[in-house]
Amino acid sequence: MSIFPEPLTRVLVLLLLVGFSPGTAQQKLLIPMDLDQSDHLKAYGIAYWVLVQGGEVDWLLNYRGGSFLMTGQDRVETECRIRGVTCVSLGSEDAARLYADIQREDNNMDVVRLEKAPKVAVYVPPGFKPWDDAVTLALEYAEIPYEKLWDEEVLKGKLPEYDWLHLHHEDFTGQYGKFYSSFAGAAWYMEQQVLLESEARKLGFKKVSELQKAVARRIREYVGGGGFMFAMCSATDTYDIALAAEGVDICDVMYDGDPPDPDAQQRLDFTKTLAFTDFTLEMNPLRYEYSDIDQPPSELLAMQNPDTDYFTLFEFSAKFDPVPTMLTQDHVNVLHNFLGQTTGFKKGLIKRSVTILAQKQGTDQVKYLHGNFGRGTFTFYGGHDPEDYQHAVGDPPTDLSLHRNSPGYRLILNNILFPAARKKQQKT
Amino acid sequence: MNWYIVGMIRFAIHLVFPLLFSVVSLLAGLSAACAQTSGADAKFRLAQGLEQAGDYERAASLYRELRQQYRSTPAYFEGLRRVLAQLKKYDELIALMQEQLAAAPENPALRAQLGSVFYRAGMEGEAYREWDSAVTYGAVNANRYRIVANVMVENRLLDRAVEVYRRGRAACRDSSLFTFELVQLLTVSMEYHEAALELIQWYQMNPTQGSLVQSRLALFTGKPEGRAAAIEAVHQAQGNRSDARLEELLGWLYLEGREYDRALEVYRSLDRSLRSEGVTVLGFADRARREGAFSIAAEAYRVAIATPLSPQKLPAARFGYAMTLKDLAAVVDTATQPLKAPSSLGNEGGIRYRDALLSFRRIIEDYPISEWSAKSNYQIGLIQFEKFFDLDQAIASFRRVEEGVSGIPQIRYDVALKIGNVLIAQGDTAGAAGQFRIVGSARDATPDQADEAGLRLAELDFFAGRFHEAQDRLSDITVNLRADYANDALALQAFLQSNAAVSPEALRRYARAQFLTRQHKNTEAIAILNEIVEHDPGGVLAPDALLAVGTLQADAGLYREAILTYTRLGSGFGNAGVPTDRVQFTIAEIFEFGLKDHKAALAAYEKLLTDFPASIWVATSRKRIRTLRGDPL
Repeated sequence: MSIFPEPLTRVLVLLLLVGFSPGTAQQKLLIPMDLDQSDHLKAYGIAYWVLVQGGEVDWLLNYRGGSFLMTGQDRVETECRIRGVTCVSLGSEDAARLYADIQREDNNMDVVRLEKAPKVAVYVPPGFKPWDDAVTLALEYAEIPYEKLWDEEVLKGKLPEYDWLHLHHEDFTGQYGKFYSSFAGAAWYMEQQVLLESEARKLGFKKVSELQKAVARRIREYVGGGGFMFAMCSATDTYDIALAAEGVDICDVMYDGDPPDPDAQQRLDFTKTLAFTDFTLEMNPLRYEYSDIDQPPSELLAMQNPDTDYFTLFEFSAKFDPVPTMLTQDHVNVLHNFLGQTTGFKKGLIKRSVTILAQKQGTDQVKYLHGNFGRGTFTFYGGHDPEDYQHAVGDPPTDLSLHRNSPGYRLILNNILFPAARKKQQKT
Repeated sequence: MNWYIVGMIRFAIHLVFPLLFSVVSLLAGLSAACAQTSGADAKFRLAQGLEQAGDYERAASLYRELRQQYRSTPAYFEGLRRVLAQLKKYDELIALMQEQLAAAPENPALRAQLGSVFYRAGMEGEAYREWDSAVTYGAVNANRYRIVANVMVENRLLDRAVEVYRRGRAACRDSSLFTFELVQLLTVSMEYHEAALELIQWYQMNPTQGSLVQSRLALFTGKPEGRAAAIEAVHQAQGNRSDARLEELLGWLYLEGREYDRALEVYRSLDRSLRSEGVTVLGFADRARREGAFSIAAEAYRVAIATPLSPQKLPAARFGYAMTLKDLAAVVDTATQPLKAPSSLGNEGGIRYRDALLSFRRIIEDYPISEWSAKSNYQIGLIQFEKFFDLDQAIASFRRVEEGVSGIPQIRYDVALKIGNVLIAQGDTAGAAGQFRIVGSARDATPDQADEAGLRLAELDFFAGRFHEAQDRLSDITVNLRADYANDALALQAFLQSNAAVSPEALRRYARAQFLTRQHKNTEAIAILNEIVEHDPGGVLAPDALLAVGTLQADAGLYREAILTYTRLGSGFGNAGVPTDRVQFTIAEIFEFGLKDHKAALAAYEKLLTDFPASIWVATSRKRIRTLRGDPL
């Protein structure tokens, strides 16, 4: 029993929390990320902008959809208004109460302090357009700056200059997206092939596939050294295939001028991959599929019904598993699915060390996964564009101002802010 | 009888038995041969099946056996060659192909394939030697070069394939040989300059194929670097000589890149080369005007007219020129958008339109009874009415059009509607109503013309305070919501429904002010509108009156007065159904575009975001703030 009367006890607890909470409980600005938010995607841009300005941002995991709490009230509030982001002013007492509430042991919430704006790089071929890729679309819309790099920069060792690397939906197997059967005669396909071949030759590789594998290995070194890597669509499975196929020719004659090694499948080394194991390569050069990782396979995409196609985000313990919790912050936990060259990942082919973040319920289709490699991490997200169910070559770009509350795009932006989090010792 | 039997036996021994023996022997021989062949066939089918199933090792051993037994059968050689390639057993494959080649040393396809095997095996020197022999072995033949180039393309050696085609061209002494193969390879390799040179050379040899050449060039001229390379190639091909076809191509390339000034120079030169007496430049001028390049279009029309053009083409060119001058003057008018341009132009505006008016007048003088004089009169009438508010002159111009086109009802009704609008501006409501009634009752008027006539008659009723009559007329137009005039009709209808019953007297005064506004009697209109506000500040029409005052002030360029009026409206009539967010947005626009006070404009837009977060003007305000701040968007 307390020696103080109850109201006084509450005041003392509040005062103690003010002193010990991650954020100093002064006047604060809350950016709610639940259904009250008018523009979820720009909200990430505001958080990033505050970090760039030298401010600190607290990410309130599982509080109102993963809200942000920050200082610098007036300027930030004006900026929020200009960018159309909903924000709420909190007095010091309200802020203290909020911190206290979040940190209660019986609440599955936590506060993560974001301290430094991560330096973002996107691995893209020259001449790429931001609207070719969901991540760059999200970065452009949220106004988060990024730099572009390609093979030469990767091989010259520039990756460690960045905190976060996104792999544009690249084909690391050197099969040019396996578009041969549909687009072999298209000007863009032929130019892309010539461009990649000349780049390979310039960098001392006889084949594009050899160059891509070398790049994949460099990226793995970067992750192992503490980098954060995020890949979507076909950059996920082709990346792991390229790692497994080190020293093995898996490309048919139309891709690299000679047939694949007859025993290519047997020679795959799954110890070299990050996320997938025991997969079987698709050796038919005319089939729009790289392996059996993709789930559902390309031929079955037409049978998917967009109206009933959803995937579910898993819930994690904010206090014990902050990283998966950060990556799954969203205002809904059942999200519209979306297709891609690689739509999802077959569960049985995912390594046990990998954390599954989202899955299509009742199926073995994993949509979103995360894992550690060395001192860094990687996150794979299946599908091409979260707001375009079936994006085809030549389709117009998605206008994100029409999807400012997109839960699917939020998952991408979670990944960008996650490297800004102050590292603290894992509780598990 | 015995003799007969003995004879028969002898016959059988000497003739039938040998024959039978021969037949039996032949059948036995055939049977053995067939058994042997069908065994090879079965083996071959099995080998093919294994090959298709991807079991190359077993297929190879079967093909090897067949090859050993039947060296001259091409199918067995081909099968073994294919599976060895799949198995990447390059040493064995090379030996096999060399053996085959020894039997047919002139086979260029086989030699080219052997080169390919060497290349895949990493023996590049041998590969190039073999490819070289493939093209040089025997008599000169274009097909040999094509075969080798194709094999090189299969090995993604595009630059080498280009070299081979060029060697073939030189060897065959045919400079147009392989043009399209080369263009394709060079385009894919992004060697646009070289690709363009190939096409130009071919064009010079095939002068009637201009469109084919343009279509091939268009594969890469959509990219700035591709277009620049093509332009450079044309210049290079031209050298110092004049070539009309190349000039035409150059003009087309400049137009594709919207480089109108350079294009004009080319078309001028082309016009001289072709002796087309200005027609080529006129075609360019029309295109430039259609694409909004008014300055260069005007210059082009001047050049075409001065050439001189033939008398048949001249009126169209002169009218095009006059229209372009009008377009040029209008571009200056809209430079201050989104604020409305002042409704009557001062001296400066007058000077801007003077040249256009002069040009139209000269057309009328030179072609007095013609389509061109009618069109010119119509344009003059529009300028006089809409830009100078010179009503008498406008009416006179429209009347002249009416006289000129009395036989064409649609144009006559258009003109009648314009005259009606001018008469309203003159205060002659009866005359205006007469014009509108003619159109409204004409059976051959278009639905739009009839709707406009109805709307104008309703407005006249409104100005005269006959609100019920006005509403009746408007309801006829609003039946079809897709009609062009339905929106205007609905707006007036809604306004009348809201106010006619509540404060008819104030509405009458408001209508009077609107009528005066049409006559540009803004001072009188503002006085009446202010009177409505002062007389009954809480009345339903007070906010509308104040809004109208602000609009008139802003339109007249009285920006500070307008801001005061709008500020009063925004602060004092918040609950009176006034679109206060729109008012705040207009204040910000006046600061930005009228007074050019960007700091005040920023503050005004930010106030809109703060006070009206759900307004439809929020998105535009955000964009304007970012533009004013200079944010990279």
